Amino acid sequence: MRDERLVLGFLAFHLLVAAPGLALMYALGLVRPRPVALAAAAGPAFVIGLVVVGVPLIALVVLGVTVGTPASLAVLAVLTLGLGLAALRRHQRERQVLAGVGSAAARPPVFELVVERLVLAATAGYLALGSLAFAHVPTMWDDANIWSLKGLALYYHEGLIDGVARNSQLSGVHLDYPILQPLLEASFFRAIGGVDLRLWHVELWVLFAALLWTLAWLLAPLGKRWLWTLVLATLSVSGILITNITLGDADTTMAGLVGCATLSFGIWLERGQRSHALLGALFIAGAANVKNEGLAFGVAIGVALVLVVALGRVRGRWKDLALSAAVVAGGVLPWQLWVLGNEAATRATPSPWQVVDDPGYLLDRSEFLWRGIEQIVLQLTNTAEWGLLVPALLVVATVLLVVRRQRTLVSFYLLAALLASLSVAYTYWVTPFADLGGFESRTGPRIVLGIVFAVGAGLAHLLQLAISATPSDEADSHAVEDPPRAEPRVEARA
Amino acid sequence: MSSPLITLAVLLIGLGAGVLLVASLLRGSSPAVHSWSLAAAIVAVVALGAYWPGKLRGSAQVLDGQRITYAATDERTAREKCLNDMGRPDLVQALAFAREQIPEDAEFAVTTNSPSVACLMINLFPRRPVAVADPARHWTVFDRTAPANVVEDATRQQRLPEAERRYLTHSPSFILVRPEPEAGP
Repeated sequence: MRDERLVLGFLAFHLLVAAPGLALMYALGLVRPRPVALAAAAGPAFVIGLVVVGVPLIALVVLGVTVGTPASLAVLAVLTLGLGLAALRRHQRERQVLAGVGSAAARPPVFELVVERLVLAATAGYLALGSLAFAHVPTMWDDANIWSLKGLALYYHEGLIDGVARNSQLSGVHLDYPILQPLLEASFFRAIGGVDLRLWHVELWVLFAALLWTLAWLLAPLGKRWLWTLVLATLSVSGILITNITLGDADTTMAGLVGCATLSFGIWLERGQRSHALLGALFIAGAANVKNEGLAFGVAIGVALVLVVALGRVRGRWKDLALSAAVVAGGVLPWQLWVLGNEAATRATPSPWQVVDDPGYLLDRSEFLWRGIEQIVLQLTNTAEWGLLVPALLVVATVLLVVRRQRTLVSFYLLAALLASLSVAYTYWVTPFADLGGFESRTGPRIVLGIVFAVGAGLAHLLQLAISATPSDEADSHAVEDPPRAEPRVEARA
Repeated sequence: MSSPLITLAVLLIGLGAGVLLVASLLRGSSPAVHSWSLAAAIVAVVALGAYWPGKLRGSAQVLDGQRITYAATDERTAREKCLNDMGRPDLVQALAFAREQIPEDAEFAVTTNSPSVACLMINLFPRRPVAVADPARHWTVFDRTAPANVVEDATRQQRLPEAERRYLTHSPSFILVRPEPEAGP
């Protein structure tokens, strides 16, 4: 009976979370009402639904509302209904357009088809069988002290109880860390009928697979698929990610969302559809509500976007950017405001405005900055974990810049990765940990995960552009400067 | 230049040389601009493809090893791992004692000299932790932190029947204190 409840609850949980995500994807014109397209959108729908439902739930928790099963289901129902109605209106408006959208893309050559399917099948098999490795994992240190502590408090007491969230005894275990992942954990336990901290690792692995699926779903309609399958396959097999999920940490979830955000905005720069910008904003809001690094990486992506839109060859995108910024702000503010008002939630890393008036402090620690930069480069060029992902992006991007192809887009990916790296370097620079060596060994491999996923997203996208026969920016500047507003065009997916 | 930067430079030079080589082979078969970007894409894909199969096999083995290692872990042991990790395996029994004594709907405050208060808390859920203890309403858990008077009182009360004690002692270093209204005479 217990096993049946667990399996049914597990399935119901994913279907329920995916429902508002799917409705939003349809409302944004990103999915067609066809069985294969809907099935292909299942993973991304879960990821998007998680953010769409999770962020309002965080706002409610912050406001002191009891968020148990009834409140969670009510929020989920209201959002699914609202987004479903928006999707229905779009469906009625575009029925004829949708009927006319076909997937008449030419069948790729056999070689490409074989590589694509072989790599995808091997990766999917690896992820599916890999889940067995997480079914009995014990609760490790960070998980017990940070993530599952909050998850269990939210599960048993349905809110931010003072004994955990405002307890100065727990200031050392990062009460400022956002709670999207613990909120998901509490909801997961409610769905499966009780607490099983071991199984939570399986769910983290499922979420990781869904994030990779989301990247694949975003890339699929852009062109040749066999190229990016290898990029996603490289991301999927890293041992650092296995360790991170085994530890119950939140870096993988945050990094996956950062990768999805980077790619969504890259597609928006290339194609000009507002829906991709909104999706990117949603992913940033999600990442920022998983870990504080997600907010830092989100700022890096935002600054990169503003720079390329202001200085690059794209025009008329400010409205989309403003809307995206509003989505991010609305998603991020509830938790950040709560942290500001909580004396026990001290931040380990001082903000730039807290140290900028003390240049002597920064100068004294310039060695930390240099060591941080070296550590970042060391991790990003760790070929045993990431293959040649980062050097490959640098080479492909450099070639595209030299031959003047998609320079705005290339600049965005390079700037986003550079600024994200600088945000990590800043952490090394001002970290209060005196034992920098220990900090490097404990944190070094996982603190760069957001950069790795942003790089992976950029490389996957640029590879498709590099191999396509599109003329250079010089030859056809319209393609870059003023891409057609494609709405209400529906992507030919699946 | 330091070693990570040298590594990056070497990798970039290697891939760049690959692009030059492939682009020279492609010359004439497509426009120059396309040859260069095609060459970069081919080199990048080959570079990724060369690493991936080995890494896939290695990570699959790691996962399989992990599956075998943890196969026998039950939920309670999983939750108690942090107690052992912080060098306090004695707390496994002590917290089991606390769970027997403190009702599930009770509120409690905990003080400990071990590195993790959180680890004690996750092993006492669903009991509700409080930030500031009110002896009239909350249970108190002392783990090696009981003041001398509490230790004395606890020792004295051990002569009383358990239901009449306010201080419940698992060991001299682990003492529970009932809220006052619940305390015996």
